[in-house]
Amino acid sequence: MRNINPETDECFAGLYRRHYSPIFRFIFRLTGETAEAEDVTQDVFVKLYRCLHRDGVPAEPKAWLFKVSANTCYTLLKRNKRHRILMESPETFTTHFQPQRFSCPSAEDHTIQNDDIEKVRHAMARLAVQDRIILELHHSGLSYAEIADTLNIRSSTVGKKLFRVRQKLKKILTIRGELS
Amino acid sequence: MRCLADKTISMYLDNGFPVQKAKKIEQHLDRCDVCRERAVKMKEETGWLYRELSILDPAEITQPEFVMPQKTVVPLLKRFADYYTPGRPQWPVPVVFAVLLILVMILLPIWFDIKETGRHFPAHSIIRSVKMGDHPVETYVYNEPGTRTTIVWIESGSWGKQIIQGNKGD
Repeated sequence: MRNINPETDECFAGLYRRHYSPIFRFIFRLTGETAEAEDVTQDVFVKLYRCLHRDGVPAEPKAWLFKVSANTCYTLLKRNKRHRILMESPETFTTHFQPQRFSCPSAEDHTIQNDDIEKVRHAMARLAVQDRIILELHHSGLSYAEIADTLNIRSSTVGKKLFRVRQKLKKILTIRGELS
Repeated sequence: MRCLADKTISMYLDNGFPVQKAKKIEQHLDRCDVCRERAVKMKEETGWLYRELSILDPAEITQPEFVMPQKTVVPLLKRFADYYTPGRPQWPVPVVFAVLLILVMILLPIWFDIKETGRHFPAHSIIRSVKMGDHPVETYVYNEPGTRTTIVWIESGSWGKQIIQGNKGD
């Protein structure tokens, strides 16, 4: 870490602009609620702000942010058992997802879209919290080294775990008739 | 080289290997039709899986202006009052107060002794207590390890004690 006290606020503003969206998306995919994702994202950036003032810029700000987000989400999901609660109440999840990705406005297509969301959501909910986090970290574009740094595990372990998680998810979706 | 394991192909597709190992795998894939087909299939499946996962993305992301939460200084009394909320265990605060009180009651006289006379005279070492004038004079027998018994006469004032005479004896 290096100290950049005079420019800390500017530095923070830059990091906030650059990393807000990917961090929010990552947290949203795990929590599934807009308000909660916004709160957690805000908390993560407050921690970054304090870290900048206290210790300077982290060596890898992106990895640092994902690490803090992953830890926060892990605690949250473990505490609330959110993944299980969501599995039991589909309406809480489907209302927040992107309608604009589907250009067909008909009611039938809307139903198909909601069905798809629900299927993927159910499949994800059946994974362990740590497996979901590792999958979402890779889906967010982090490299093996960055994921390893985020979760304090070895790069080779990341590969093995990712492979296993993907197999499991594919299997769940296949059983649900998703995989052709 | 034997055919590649699924896990190895998966890690190769994710760029999870160092350059040298990745080259070796690449060479094998160039030669082996079976592994190449498996790699193509796995790439398609992973792409499909991530497209499926993208369905869970938020509809839109509006980046709010960052507002640093202000640090508020909560007065000690308020914190103490806040502690007593329903559901919290009620016993720790009285217990802590009682322990502190006991400690003060034990340590305060010792501190006065040390401050006034330079040493602590425990209560059981009083062998005689007489009154001279306004103040009582107490005779203490003070045993210091490795030395002979010391007898001192202490004048007890309202605040602490004062050595008025001391001698050494057996």
